[in-house]
Amino acid sequence: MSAYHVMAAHFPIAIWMTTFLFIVLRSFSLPGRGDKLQYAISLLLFIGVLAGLATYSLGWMVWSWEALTYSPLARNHILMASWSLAYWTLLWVLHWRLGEHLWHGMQRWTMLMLSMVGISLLSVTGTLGGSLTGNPSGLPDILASLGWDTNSTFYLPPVMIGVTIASGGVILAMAWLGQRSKA
Amino acid sequence: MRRILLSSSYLLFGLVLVLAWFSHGTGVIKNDPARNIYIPEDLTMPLQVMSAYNENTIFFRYRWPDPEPNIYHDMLVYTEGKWVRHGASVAGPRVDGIYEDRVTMLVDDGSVPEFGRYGGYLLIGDGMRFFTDQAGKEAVQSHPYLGEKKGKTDVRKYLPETRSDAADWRSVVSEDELARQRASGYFLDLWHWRAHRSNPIDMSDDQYIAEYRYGDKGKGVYHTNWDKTLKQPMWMYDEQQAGGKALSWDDLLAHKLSFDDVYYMSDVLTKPFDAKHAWKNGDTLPRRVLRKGDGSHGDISVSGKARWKDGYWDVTLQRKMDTGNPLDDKIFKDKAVYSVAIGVHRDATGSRWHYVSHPISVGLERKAMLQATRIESGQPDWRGQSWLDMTLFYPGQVNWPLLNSHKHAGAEKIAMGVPVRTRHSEAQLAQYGVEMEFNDEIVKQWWLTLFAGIFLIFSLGVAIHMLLNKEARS
Repeated sequence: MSAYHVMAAHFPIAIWMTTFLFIVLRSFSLPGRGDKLQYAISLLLFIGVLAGLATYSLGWMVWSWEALTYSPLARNHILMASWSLAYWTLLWVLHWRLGEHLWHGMQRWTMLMLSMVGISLLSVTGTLGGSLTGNPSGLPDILASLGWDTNSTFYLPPVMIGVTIASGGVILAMAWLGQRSKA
Repeated sequence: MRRILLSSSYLLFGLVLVLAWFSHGTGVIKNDPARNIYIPEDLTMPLQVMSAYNENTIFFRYRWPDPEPNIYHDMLVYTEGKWVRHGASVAGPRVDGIYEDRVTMLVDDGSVPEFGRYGGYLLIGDGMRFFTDQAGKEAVQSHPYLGEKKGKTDVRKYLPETRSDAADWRSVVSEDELARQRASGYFLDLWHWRAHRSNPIDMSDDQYIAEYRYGDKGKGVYHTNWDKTLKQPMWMYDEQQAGGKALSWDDLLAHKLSFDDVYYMSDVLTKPFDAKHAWKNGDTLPRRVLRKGDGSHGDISVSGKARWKDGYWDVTLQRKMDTGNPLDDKIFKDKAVYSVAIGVHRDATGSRWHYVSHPISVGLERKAMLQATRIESGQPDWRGQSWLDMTLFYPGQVNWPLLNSHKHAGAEKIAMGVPVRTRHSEAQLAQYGVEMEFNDEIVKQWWLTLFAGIFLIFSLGVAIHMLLNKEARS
C-alpha cells in the first residue's frame, strides 16, 4: 500500500501548493480584479481536501496500526498529516462559506498568513513522508536547527495540552461573544 | 468589537503555536531508576579505530574521548565493623564515580551472517537484565538449563537461534543442539577490555556469546575477593609490595590515585586477609583481584600501555591470529573479511548504559570499511595508517524480538536482509532507543497533542466563520 499512498500524496501536495500560489496572487491583486482567482482557489481547496482525504486514508493502510504508532518518524508524519488535512479543510470551509469577504481590507493579509501556516504544515508532512520512504530532504536539518529533531516524536507536555485546549475554548467563547455583540 | 475579538483569536492561535514549538518533547522523558531507566546526556559519541596484523598476531587500536578516566571499580569499604560493597552496577552512572571504563568488540567470521547486518541488536533478546521488563532472578534460577545447570541468575546477551522461540528467553534449545551450533561457529567472539579489571596487568578479558555471555575456557583475568561464609575479604594488600594494607576511601572519592599508583589489587600485591588487624573506617580493599589468566580466557592482552591522556583513551589490544581455540574465538586469516561491532562504557556506567556501533567490516588486506594493514613482524608502527571514524550511540531498550515483530515497520526489511545502516543513522537509533523506554507515555501524549491541535484549528475556523459572517451580514 506504500506505493499507492506515495503516488496519491502527489495530488494534494500539488493542489495545495498551487492553491497557496493563487492565494499569494489573490492577496496582492487589485480590488475587483481577483474574481477568477477567488473561484479557482475555492475549487482547488475543495479538490485538495478530497485528494487529501484519500491520501490520508491510504496512509493508515501502509503499515499495521502498531507499526505506525511505534515509529517516532511515522507518528510525526501522522500528526502533521492530520493537522494539514484539518487545516486545509478549515481554509476550504472558510472560502466556501465566506467567499469574497475573506479578501476585504486587512483580512486578505490574514488569509495570506493563515495559508503560510498551511503550506508549512504541508511541507513538513511531505518531507517526513520522504524520510519514511528512505528519501530524506534537507528540511529535517533546518527543523533540527530550529529546535525539533524529527527523529523524536512531536508531543506537548501535559500543561501545554491544557493550554491548547483552553485556548481553543477561549477562541470559541470570543466567537460566541462577537456574534452576540451589536458592534 | 468583532474585529478586536477576531484579531485576539488570531493572536491566541499564534501564541499557542509558538509555545507549542518551544515546549514540545518535554514533560515525559525523565530518569526512573525503579524502572531501570537512565538517559545519558550525550546520546552519541565518536570513536576511532585502526587495525594491523602480522603472521601471528592481530592488533586493534581504539581511541575515544572521555572527560576523565574511570579506573576504580567495585570496592569493599570498612564501615562501622563491616565490609560494605561500593561499585555494583546501577541504572546510569554511579554518583561516587566508582565504575570502570570499558571498550568491547564483538567479532564474527561470517558464521552469524545477521550480525554483519544488525550488529549487537541481534543479541538483545527477551528478558534482558537491566531492561524494565527484565526476567526475575528466581525465574532464571529455576530454569533447568540456565539456572539449575549453569547457575545463572539473569538473562544476558544471546543469539536468537539458541532459542526455539527468540522472543522467549526460557526456550533454550537442547544441549546437543547448542553444542552443534557452537561447533559450526554460531557464536560471537567478545574482546572485553576493562580499565580496572584487566588493564592494570595489561590484559583484556576474552569472552564469547552463544546462549549466554560466557568467559572463554581457562582462568579469567580476575577473581573475587570475598569470603561469603565469613562475610569479609579473602585478601588484603601485602604492605611490602603495595606500601600499605588498604587503600583510602577518601583518596578514591577524590580520584587521587592514578595509573602509577596502586589502585587495584593483583595476585602479586596480596596476602591472606587478617581479620584481627585494627581496621579503621574508610579502609578500602578492591573486591576484584587481578591475575594473568590462562588458557583461552587469557588470549587477549594490551599492546604497550593503555592510557587516558588529554581527554582521550588510547587502547591497543592484541591477540594471536589463530588462538587454537575455535570453539571460543574467531580465528583470523590473512585475506579474509570479518564483521565487528564496538562498544564503549564511560562516565562511570555499567551494564546496558553503553554506546554501541553499527557493525563494520574488517578486511585483512581486503577491501572493507576498516582495512587491517599487514606488517612483517613485531608491533605495528601506526604512522601512515588512517583512523576509521565511527559514531557510537546509546541503544536504549530495543530488542531483537521487537525488531522482528509487527510493531516494527522495518521487520519485513530485516526478513529481506536489508542492513540497518541503510535505513537508520546512529543519531536516529539513539532517539528511537530513548523513546522506546517511554513508548506508552509518549504515544498517549502524542494522541492528546494530535487531538488538541485539531481542536485548536477547529476553534479558529469557527471563530473566523462566526465573526466574519456576522460582519458580512451587518
